[in-house]
Amino acid sequence: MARVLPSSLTPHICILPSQDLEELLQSSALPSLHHILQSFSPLPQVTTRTTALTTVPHTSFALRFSDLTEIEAACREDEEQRATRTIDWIGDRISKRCAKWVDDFEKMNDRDVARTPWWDELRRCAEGDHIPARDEGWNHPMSIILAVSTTAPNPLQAITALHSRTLDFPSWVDVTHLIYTLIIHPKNSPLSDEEAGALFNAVKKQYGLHTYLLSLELPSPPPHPVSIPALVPRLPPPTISNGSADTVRPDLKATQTAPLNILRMSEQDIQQTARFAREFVTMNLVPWMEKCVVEWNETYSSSRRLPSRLFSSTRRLFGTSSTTPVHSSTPSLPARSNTYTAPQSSVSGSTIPPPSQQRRLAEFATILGDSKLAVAVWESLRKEGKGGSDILPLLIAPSPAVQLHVSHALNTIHPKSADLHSHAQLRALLYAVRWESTLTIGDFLSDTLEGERWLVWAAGNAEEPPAALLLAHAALLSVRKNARRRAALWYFFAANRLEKCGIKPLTMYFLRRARELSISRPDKLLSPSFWMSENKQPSDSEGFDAVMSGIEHPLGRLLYTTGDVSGAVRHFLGLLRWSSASSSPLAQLSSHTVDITKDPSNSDKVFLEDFQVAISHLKSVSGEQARLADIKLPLRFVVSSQACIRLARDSVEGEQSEWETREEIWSSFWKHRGKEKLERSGNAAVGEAFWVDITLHNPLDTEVTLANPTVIVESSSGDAAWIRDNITIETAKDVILYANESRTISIAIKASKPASLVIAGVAYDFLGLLPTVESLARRGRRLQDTPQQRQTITYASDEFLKLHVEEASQELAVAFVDDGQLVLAEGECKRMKLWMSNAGSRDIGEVWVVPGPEDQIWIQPLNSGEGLATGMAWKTWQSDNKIIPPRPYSIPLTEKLVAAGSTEVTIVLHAGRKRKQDLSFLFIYREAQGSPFHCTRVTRSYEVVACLQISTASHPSYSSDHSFSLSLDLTNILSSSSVEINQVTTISANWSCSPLAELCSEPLCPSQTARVLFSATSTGDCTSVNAVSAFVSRKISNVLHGQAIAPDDPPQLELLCGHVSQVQVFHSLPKSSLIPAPSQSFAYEPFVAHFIMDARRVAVSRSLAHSHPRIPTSSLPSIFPLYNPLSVDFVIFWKIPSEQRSGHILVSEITLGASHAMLREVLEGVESAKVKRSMYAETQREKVEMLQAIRDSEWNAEMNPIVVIVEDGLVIEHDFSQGVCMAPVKFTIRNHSLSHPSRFVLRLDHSQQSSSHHFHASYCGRTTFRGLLEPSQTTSVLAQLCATRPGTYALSDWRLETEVGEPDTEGGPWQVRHCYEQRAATDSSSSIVISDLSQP
Amino acid sequence: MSHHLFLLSPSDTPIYSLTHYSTKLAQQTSSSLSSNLPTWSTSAFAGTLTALSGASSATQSHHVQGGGVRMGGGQDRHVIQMIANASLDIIEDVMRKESAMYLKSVDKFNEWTVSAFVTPGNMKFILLHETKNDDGIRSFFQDVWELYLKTMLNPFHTAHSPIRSIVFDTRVRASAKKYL
Repeated sequence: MARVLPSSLTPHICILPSQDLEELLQSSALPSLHHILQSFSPLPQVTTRTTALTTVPHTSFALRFSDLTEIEAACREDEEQRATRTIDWIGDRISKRCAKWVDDFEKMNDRDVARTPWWDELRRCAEGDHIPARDEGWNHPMSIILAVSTTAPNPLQAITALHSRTLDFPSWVDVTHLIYTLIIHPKNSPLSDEEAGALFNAVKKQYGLHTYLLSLELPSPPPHPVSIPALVPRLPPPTISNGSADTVRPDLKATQTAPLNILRMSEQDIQQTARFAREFVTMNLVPWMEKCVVEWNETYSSSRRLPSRLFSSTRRLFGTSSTTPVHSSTPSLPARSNTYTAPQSSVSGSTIPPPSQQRRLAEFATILGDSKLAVAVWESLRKEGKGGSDILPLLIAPSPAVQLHVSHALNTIHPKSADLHSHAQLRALLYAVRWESTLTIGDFLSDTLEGERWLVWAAGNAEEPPAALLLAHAALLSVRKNARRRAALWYFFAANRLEKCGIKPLTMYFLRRARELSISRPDKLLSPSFWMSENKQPSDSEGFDAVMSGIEHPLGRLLYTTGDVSGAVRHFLGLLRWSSASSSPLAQLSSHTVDITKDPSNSDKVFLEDFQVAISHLKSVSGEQARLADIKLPLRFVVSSQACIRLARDSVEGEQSEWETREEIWSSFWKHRGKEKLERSGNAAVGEAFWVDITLHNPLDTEVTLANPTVIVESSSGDAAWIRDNITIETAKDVILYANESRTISIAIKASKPASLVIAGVAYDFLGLLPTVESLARRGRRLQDTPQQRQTITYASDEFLKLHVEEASQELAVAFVDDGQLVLAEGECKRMKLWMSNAGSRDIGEVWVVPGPEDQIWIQPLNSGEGLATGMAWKTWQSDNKIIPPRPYSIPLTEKLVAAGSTEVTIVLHAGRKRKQDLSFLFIYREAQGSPFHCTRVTRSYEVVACLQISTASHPSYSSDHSFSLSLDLTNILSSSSVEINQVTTISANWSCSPLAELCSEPLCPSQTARVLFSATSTGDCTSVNAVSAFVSRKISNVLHGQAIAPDDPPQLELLCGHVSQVQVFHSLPKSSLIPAPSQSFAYEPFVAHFIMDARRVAVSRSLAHSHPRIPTSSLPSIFPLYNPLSVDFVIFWKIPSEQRSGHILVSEITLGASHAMLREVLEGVESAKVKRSMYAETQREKVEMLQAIRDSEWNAEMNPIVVIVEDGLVIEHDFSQGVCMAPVKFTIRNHSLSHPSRFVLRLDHSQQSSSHHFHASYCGRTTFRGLLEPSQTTSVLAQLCATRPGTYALSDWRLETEVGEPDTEGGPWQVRHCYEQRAATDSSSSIVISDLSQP
Repeated sequence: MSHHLFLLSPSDTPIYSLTHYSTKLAQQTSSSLSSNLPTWSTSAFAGTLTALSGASSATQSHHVQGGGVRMGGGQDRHVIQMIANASLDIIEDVMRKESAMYLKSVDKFNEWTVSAFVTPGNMKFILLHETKNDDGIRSFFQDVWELYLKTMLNPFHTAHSPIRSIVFDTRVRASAKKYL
């Protein structure tokens, strides 16, 4: 079974009809003869024979018929010119019909499987090429039928005339053809059947057996038309202006335009003609071809035989100059024209030879289905470089070699470096079409052949419609191979080329296909775990961003030019999705690096410009807005997470966080007292404007204008009309956002009725043209409540900005009466007046003020008048020793504050630390018990400057009647004013302090320093010390073990106060009177006690927060007490008379007495506990930090409690003539511990190297002293210094070893807690002077 | 002569791209081919659009860059990306057949040859180049792979996060300069 060859490879038969025949056919309403015969063309069941005499059955054997004169004329045309014309003609045909094709095709469902009409058209046009070509013999006429009719006046003469006609072919046309004579004998012929038979016999006798008498009925009214297969379209001949246009047949045009091909022939005539066609092929043409093949094969194989080849090569080798005709590719014509040699006119002197005999052999063998021979001959032709690569793929089995043949075939016609000529394009097209139509689709698309690539190769770089359609067909085939991305690329290339030819419907179709293919992502064989691990959905993945924009932009432009403006608008807008704002990672990458490949035509600017042009045009054309309703902007300009509502009262300056702190203070305070809520300050009042702040961000890299931005408000109280009537929404000015710019705009809203508003979205006109609404919804929180929600990401419903607008029924206006600049001295108590007025319509019955956590204020009670100073002096002070968290103060009101009523309140501010700060008060008020609270804010800034520089010092006392001496140095650092120190008060739980001298009466002038001395004696009662220590260590233990901290209070403390006041003028008072008389006592302001406690609280909280950053601030009050029983606080009351300032400063820096690592057991317990490994190094680090902070805290202080005091400065007179001097040296040893006993060993030795120039003291007698000291006990030992000569003896040669024991071990064994060793300080200058009496 | 490198995640999301202009001389002059690459001609309707927008068409300017150093044909970003995208089809085919990571030249589109490298983690590195340079490209891919692995050591880096590391970028460029 032979392969069905493409029609362009079938025998080409030329018909030369006589004039009378043409007239006859016209009169019978029939087309010309070659058209009639062509409709009988594929003959079924034709059998041929190979050279090996095997029969080859052909299921269909096609022939091509054409008019000889036409072919002759066409041959004269320049090939290149004709190729150009052909390409234009193809383009023209396609462009004329593609709109309808595309419309029809779009309606089909299986577009990827169906044959595309444009490809069929292209193929038919390419196959329809029937003009003989110089480089191949397929179109060279294989047979010439000379046709006459018996209607001619003299048929024999007509036949003779036709036979004697000179063939007007150029020299390169092969003249090996079969001459055939056809006599058509119609019924109405003047010749009778016998005469016609006689004529036939005469012709046979004269011109050989290749003659046929065709008797036809040709009834005079033409019979019903019979439809025939459509004729292959053929290139119309050129319209030549010089008058030889007679070759253009009208019927040719008719067949081209006729939708259905019809033949008006009777059934009998059709059978007659079919018989003729069959007889012509089987009896004449095929045997003639077989004969040619046999003869030529003989020549061919003889030239291939070994001796001949050997001889020829020896001849070549030995330089014999004889040429072998067998080897010649241009054999002499007589040898070949074995049937008929037509006299050929040499039209021009061109000596282009016809196709070689070998090539003709290959072609004939191919047509006859003798593929074995054909393949062999084509192979040898290919090896000689004379073509064949184009036909071999059709004949040989699919193998990788086929692809090489294809690429070779295309490479030989494609010049590498130059632009493609039309002729080459056409050849490539023809090859591609032959391959595509001959190979089965399975073979063609198989991985070995990859036929779709051949089409792309054939298309080359040509920009003509055929190349574009080749690419499109390659794309279509790629889709079938499921290579969709490649298909998209080829569709895109095809569209690109086609667009240049102006075939828009098809261009758009291709672009749409490319777009569809690009959008659909191929299935990936990825594990579901991949997506789980990435926390993404398979649909989320982003591809190349520029691909879509590259396809959609031209598509949009084409839509615009073809008049579909609204479609174009949609596309241009959609492009912004793929722009620099795209979520594609690549776009994000390119937006931050300078991408040189970034194409200016691809940037947002171009897209936006196109969009602007298109939408303005759309508006100008259609003029109505409704069509724009479904056009959605694919971008967001509004950053919804940053939108917020700003109320008029929020504009009170001050950090938002500060106000939040105050609100927290209030809520924690009120939590235990009631359930009434503090209505957030975020409620707008009726008739009062509030603003919505919207952050706009331009994601594009070009400038955009957002015109008339405003907000969309929804209300539960009413519909849109209600909102329109009652709520005024401002429209802001047009916003011009530059590339990637962010800007915040404020839009004012004023409601005239109470409502609950939802700020639903932002509306603006994009570029002033496209009305757009963007939602302000924010995604709800991630839901984690059920397992289902935890496994699949679920979010709560979207959240909107909400706002209540209420009647301003409750409104308190608060203002400082004096609003000038405020400069306070450190510790100053400043009275300030605040004016409160009820601006609402309802009464206010309760007002609270919330200061900041570090603000110390006091509200003057109503009945205290101008704050009378009380003259009492406290001795003791009961403290609950608790760090009370900051809390609000109630403002006493004489009566309800009625509407428009006002009152004044005095607040005393105690200036704290030196700095510039804001005094921010949150006023919280309500009508009466049970009603919700409202709040308002007031703030003013003030500055605190220091007036006194205070330093404190403490050291163990040398005196035996008190343990420690304290000194307080005060320096006036003001530049001009002098400061009066009115009183200094000491506060301590465990130490009773008494001044060692009274305060000097003179004011402290600038830069002067005063010193106040106190002595401190322990009360001896260490129960409070122990109780507080136990409390702290228990709490710390809880903290370190990570247990819950019970909110229990520390043990109460009784604080002892000592005072020293300014002695007025009572100089007569005895100096020894250290305790001031009550009559001279300092007059306290009523708020002093409050401020002292508050200042202590602030100071302790601050230092705790600083030293224990890892313990939450909120739990510090339940861990640490307010007072360490061992600490001593000073309160310095001062006055600057010249500036009418007065105040007091609390100094709490001193802790007296020895303590013994109270937390040691707790810390050891924690450290020796089993180490729990934490997963995070950071947690571990935090724990270590916390432990270290606790270890370093004052509660874990550890020191040597024993202090040695050597009696110093004694002068002993001794007469050395009487012997050595034995001087007694008294060492006083004091245990400063309040709780722990200590054992000591005092050793006197010489090992200590004193730096002084004094003599070393040498002791005699007892040099080691041991003893036990109970807490706070003092003992003294007496050593004998042995001086052999007079002089000054240093008393620093001692060493004291101390063992601190555990307390409460009475009767029990002595347990050592700490051991210390101490020596005299190296700079100690204690000495004893022994003078000699004997030497006066 | 230019090179375009793309790093694609297993789901074909591009996470890095690089355009490298080689200073090495091209063995062949293929300038004529590049001129035929799709540079979207707006000529068919540029007139209308331009007339309406009042702006001069900027699209024509970029392919007038004749002479001097040619910066590689087909400057259009979208064409380069499309080619890289289209080559994924054949890369997936080749991946199934071959076990090697370096897939050599898998495809050709016009003058662009596409070389690919697929890591064991299914990351695809795609390089578009104009001349044959198998060994250089192999070394380059190896370098990029190593650098990519170092980037992936960052626990916050997922297979989809674009690589913005400047260190990575600099080193890839250095490697490109060395081998391409």
